[in-house]
Amino acid sequence: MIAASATDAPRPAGRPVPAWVIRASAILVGIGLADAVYLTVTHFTTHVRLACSGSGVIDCARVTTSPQSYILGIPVAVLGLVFFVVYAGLCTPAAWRSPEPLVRYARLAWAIGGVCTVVYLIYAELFEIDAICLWCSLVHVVTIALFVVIVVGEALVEGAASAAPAG
Amino acid sequence: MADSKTRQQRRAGERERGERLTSKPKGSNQRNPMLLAIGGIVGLLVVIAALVGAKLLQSSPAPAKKTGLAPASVVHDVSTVPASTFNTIGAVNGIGGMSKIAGTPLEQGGKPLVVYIGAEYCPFCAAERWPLVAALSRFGTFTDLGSTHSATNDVYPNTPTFSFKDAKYASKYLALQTVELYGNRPVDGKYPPLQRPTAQQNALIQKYDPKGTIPFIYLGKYLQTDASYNPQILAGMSMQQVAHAMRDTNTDQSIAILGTANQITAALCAQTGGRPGNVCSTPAVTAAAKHLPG
Repeated sequence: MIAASATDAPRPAGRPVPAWVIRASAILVGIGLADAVYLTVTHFTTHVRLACSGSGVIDCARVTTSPQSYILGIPVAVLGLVFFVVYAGLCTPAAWRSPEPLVRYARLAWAIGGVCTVVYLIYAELFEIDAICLWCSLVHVVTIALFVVIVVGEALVEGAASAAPAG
Repeated sequence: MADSKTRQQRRAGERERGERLTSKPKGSNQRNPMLLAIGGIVGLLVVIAALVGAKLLQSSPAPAKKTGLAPASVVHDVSTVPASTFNTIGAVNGIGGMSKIAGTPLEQGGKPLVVYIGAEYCPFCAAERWPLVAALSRFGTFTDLGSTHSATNDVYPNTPTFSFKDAKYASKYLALQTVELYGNRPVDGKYPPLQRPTAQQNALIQKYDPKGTIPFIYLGKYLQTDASYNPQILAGMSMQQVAHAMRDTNTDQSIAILGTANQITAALCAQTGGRPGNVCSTPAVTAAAKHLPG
């Protein structure tokens, strides 16, 4: 009897995405989603306040009640929540393995849009509001980390596809 | 036989070498997307590092600690009142002291100009600074707000409040000028002068209130003179207690301070053309706008 080797095991169909890319993106989206929910709840309620320093450079309330806490009239907290809900859809294992170029481009575009927004928000915190919100910074770090995971993941998949023998 | 084998082997070797030389090296296609990815990541990190670096360079190194500043927690509480708290208070009847004024509103640096003229000894100024700071903080940021109280030998003695003497205000919507005319401790029977109004500020006083009432708060299309509420409700309180009470919408302090702040905000929104929208279009401000003097 010949034992089945690892290579004999059925592989999921679609693009060969490294497992760590799928896992890392799922974990980061989960963290970002939880943080965004917390920021949204504290935005709309008065009895839940952000657990954060209230003086000096670190001042969450100063940031979350500033004029810059809205973009086009929409609270940034809500935009963050929508951002991570869409990300959750784009980073499922099925979406990662999907051969559809549209899904891939949408994920890349979302990642690029996310970091561009993060750069603006960091600018606003440092130069316009003059305070930093720790919970917002966590969202920024998660968004940047997701960008890294996505572009490296896509590069690895693309590289593997290019290196694979034709036919 | 051996010779032909050797020739065949040599030809095969040459063919293999030729293929190796003409074909792209293995992995060259794989490197390009990875280079792009790494370039993108490095570019992003450089931009963020540049922002942080610029901020660090902008900040003066180890500034001397200033004395007489308002407690940070008080400044924080007053300048970060949630929109929902303002909305709960909404428009309050009986807010006094505001009138509509004629003339072209003044600007500074292309932004509508707000002018505050008061004095540290003055209890009505003390009361009015609370809603003024709360309202202006919705359009920008104060730094170096001082801590003081009204005179001990006047009506409503020791009313706790901010001082604008060394305060700075940054906003992309408004420009603010403040003058604290006198201190709060009499010297030889007189309050010591602190700051002098400029010619432009004197002209404003002459034009709109020649009696020289303080507080005098020029809001472009509106003028606030005298206190909008009774300073008695702040009697015996510390700055921390006032700041805490004004965020509790069940207190008299909250109704008076945030009600006035909503009215001042509505007057300021009339100056900024409704910007920022997230402040000027809140239910509290739109309701307060209807209470502005006609």
